[in-house]
Amino acid sequence: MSTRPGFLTLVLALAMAAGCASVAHKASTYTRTATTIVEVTSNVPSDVWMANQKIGTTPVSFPFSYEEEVERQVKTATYWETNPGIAAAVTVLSLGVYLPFSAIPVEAQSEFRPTGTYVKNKLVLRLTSESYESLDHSVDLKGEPRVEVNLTLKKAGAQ
Amino acid sequence: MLKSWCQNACLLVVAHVLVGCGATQFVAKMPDSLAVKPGDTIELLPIENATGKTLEVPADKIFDEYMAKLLQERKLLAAPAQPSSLVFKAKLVEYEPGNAFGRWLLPGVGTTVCTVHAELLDKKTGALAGRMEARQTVSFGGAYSIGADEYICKRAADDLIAEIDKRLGKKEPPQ
Repeated sequence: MSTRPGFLTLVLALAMAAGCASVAHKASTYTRTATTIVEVTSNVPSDVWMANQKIGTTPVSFPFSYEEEVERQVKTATYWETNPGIAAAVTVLSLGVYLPFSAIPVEAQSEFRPTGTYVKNKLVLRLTSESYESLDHSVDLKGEPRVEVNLTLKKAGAQ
Repeated sequence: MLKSWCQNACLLVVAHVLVGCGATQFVAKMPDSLAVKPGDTIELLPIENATGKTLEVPADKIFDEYMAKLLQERKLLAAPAQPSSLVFKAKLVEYEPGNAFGRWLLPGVGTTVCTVHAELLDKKTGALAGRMEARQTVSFGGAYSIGADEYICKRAADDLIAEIDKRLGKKEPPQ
């Protein structure tokens, strides 16, 4: 009976240690593909160019793909957090012997979070139309599913 | 009563020594409209190691070979230079070889982990058609969990192909 408070103290100490140890830290980063549908419209029918390639004539819509950065964060967790069913079964069948050890954060848990940083996400367009001045336009895309670009071309020679 | 408890405890001990088990996590973000039609083929790009570490076990090669086999079995793998409709692009984002002795000692110690982030891209436009993420772990067990470092990424590949299977022969919704 006298060992009971000592045992509980041990369990509590280990549980507190588990809490302290489970601070997430950055492990690695990787990029994943993001695609935005770009809809281009203009005041006059114009040819739309991207990287010296003709996309089509306005109004036109096309997918633009770039990269989104994702960060992997790792924290250590107790087996109760990762596999509560097995932890409970082992505790019961070991008559509680496993319980103090189960509070040790031993298993790595990963979380994947987009950082909000995008790579190669600058869309540069050139619109050309006969007897109108060509127009360059750039947009920074940030994971939007769809973006509308409405442009106005000026008549050649107009002030 | 005590006898049956002892039997259960013995069973658990034997199971703990022999088997290996862990958890499965799978997330897919695929539009309902994504369908793999009969005759469609998928170009398989080699998996990229994005763990930030050098792999002790060639988990990337094991994944590539197994994924190619799974696609081949379904007649979905595009041969080199053959036109394809989709591109399968994967990244190994987490890999831990773990160790069976650690798992035997205490559940969670020496956990084997494999997480693969995979994307299906439209071959013609390069647009993202869908993405999925499979995470497999072996965190509990003993002798029979030896070798988990080699088969863990195959389990992740099984999860990914199961999602592609759901799209096989699916009719596209009317426009």
